[in-house]
Amino acid sequence: MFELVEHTAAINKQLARYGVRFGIYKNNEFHEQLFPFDTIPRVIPAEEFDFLEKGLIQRVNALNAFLADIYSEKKIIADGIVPEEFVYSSSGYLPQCEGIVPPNGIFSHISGIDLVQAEDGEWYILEDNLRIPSGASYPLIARELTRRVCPDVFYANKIRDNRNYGDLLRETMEAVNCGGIRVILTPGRYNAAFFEHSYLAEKTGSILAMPQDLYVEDNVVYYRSYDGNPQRVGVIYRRISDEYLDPLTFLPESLIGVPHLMEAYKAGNVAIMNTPGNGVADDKGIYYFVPKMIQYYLKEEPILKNAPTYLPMYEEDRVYVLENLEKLVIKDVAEAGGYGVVFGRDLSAEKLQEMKNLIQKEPRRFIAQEIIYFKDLTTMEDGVAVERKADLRAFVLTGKTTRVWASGLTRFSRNPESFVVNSSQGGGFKDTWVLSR
Amino acid sequence: MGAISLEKSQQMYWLGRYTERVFTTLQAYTILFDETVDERQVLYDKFCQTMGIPDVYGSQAVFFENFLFDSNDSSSVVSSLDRAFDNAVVLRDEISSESLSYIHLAMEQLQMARTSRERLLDLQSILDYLYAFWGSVDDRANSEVCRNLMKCGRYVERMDLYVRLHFSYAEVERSYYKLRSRIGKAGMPYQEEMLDCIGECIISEEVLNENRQKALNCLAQLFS
Repeated sequence: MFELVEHTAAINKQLARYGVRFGIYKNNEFHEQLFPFDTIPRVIPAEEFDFLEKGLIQRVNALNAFLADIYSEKKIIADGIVPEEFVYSSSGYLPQCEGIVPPNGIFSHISGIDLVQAEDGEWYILEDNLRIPSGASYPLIARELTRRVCPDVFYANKIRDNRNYGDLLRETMEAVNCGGIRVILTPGRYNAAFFEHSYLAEKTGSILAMPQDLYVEDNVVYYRSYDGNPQRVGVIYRRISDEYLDPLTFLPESLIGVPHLMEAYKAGNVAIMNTPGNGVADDKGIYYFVPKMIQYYLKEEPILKNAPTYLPMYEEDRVYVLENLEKLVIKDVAEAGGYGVVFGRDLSAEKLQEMKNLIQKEPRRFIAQEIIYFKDLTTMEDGVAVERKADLRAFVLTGKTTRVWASGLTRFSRNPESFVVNSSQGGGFKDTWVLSR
Repeated sequence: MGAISLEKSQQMYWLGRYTERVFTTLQAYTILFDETVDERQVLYDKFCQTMGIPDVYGSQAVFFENFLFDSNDSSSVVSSLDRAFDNAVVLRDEISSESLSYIHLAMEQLQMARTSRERLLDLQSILDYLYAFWGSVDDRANSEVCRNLMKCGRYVERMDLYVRLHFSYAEVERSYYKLRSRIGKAGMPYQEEMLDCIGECIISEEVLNENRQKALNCLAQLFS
């Protein structure tokens, strides 16, 4: 696979040709830039992927069960497994979603589960993303173009084809379609992930809709057609955050929402993927409880491990965190995209004390984790092979069944000192090869 | 597929117009550039006049540079290509990634032309990419409606530029009949009397020469 390196320029030229970009706002200005692609893939052996697949399916099924429970009977709270304050104080918990049962009872249709592999080879779950996880389009198109540039590499290596993501996504959409056309709802051209929205619309044969293209009448969602013949919408893969989705239910100032959408959804006339309110399950604080959810709902032992995590809200954990802060990584549960992540070892004595004070003042706001020393991946930088930290975002799709896409987005840090791999902070990406034998 | 929003229909129409504007103005630019090789006289001001664009250039040399590359000049080729891209990029699901890629390639080629010593050859490549773009759209666009809307925009723009730039009568006449056959299929409401008026203005070469401005006025009111 290292022979791919000599084709780097050709592959990058292809990526530019097809507009593989992501947007970023700096100083209130929108900039679009190429997502740096490293041709050396992450390789996952077949047996290792089988193991990951089982663990991911188990985890996502438990998370779906949790969401179904939290927005209905709340047995997991009543049984003392998850403290209620963790649910109700989560910014992702939306009381407006109470009692709504989505089509086929599925809440998280597309789950982006972030994992890291430690130096000893053990995989750990770092984060669950159950709202609008992005990134699948990048390895999808990178594979397509890499195959085109150097097919010989793919003759020599037995790699599972990942170009079925569009089919998997379309099937997932159809599994919950309430009768109508499929649309991918984008906030617009200047969204950071617009390339992905438009590319997935093409790959799934869905319509890429802007908010103003949709309207609701008698609890039914329609696509506004230019010829005056509106089309009924059966399923919306929305790429708009919960709070902006419907100004009559959530933020009234939202200009990118569809008024009355939640009423149509409540009436069972349209499926929304992923369902609003999922943020309660991918909250960094709730993450701590996911292994317990697996035991509670599935009566199984978790296959995949969480990174060792402490909740300062619990006194015992808080004492440990305050005593060992310089060894831990602290995450602000309200932040995302690699923001709000602080390594205790990087803080001055003064800043460390400030952080301790903050944790004591607002214990619910933070989690602390042991630092996992990721297995570095070889990456090319200015023609030189270097080792860099990388994570893996696995995509798990739940429709008629729960399936794991045999690929994923491997993101790497371009800063040798950093564990932060997010594209918004300068990270690059690799393809993820799953070997077929 | 088949449902197209009002906004998308407008984007398709304008994508057709802007790609044609780039194509035809590049052709005209190349001809003008060639003429100056022998005649060595200032010709660009007449070009600006016939195009209906302000002469903000001051000299032929500045015109030949800025009319291609100045993104602050809304009449420039790069601005038209940027507008084509703005419309194309939101239509990826309709026109395909493959079609969109030809716009990317044309943009990249225009950037390369800026520092190239073989500028006219680079411009030729842009025309090639635009031909490829149109071929790709014909092959890959999701719906007939999309093709019709884009071609409608394309032929409106072509009529406008061919009439302004004194393209041959045969070419003007051919583009009128292409527009006429496409406009009804596009499904956009239009003023039939304006279309007929254009037809009357181009009934013969002599009539066209006397009625160019009238033809342009009718064209401008086609969708009003």
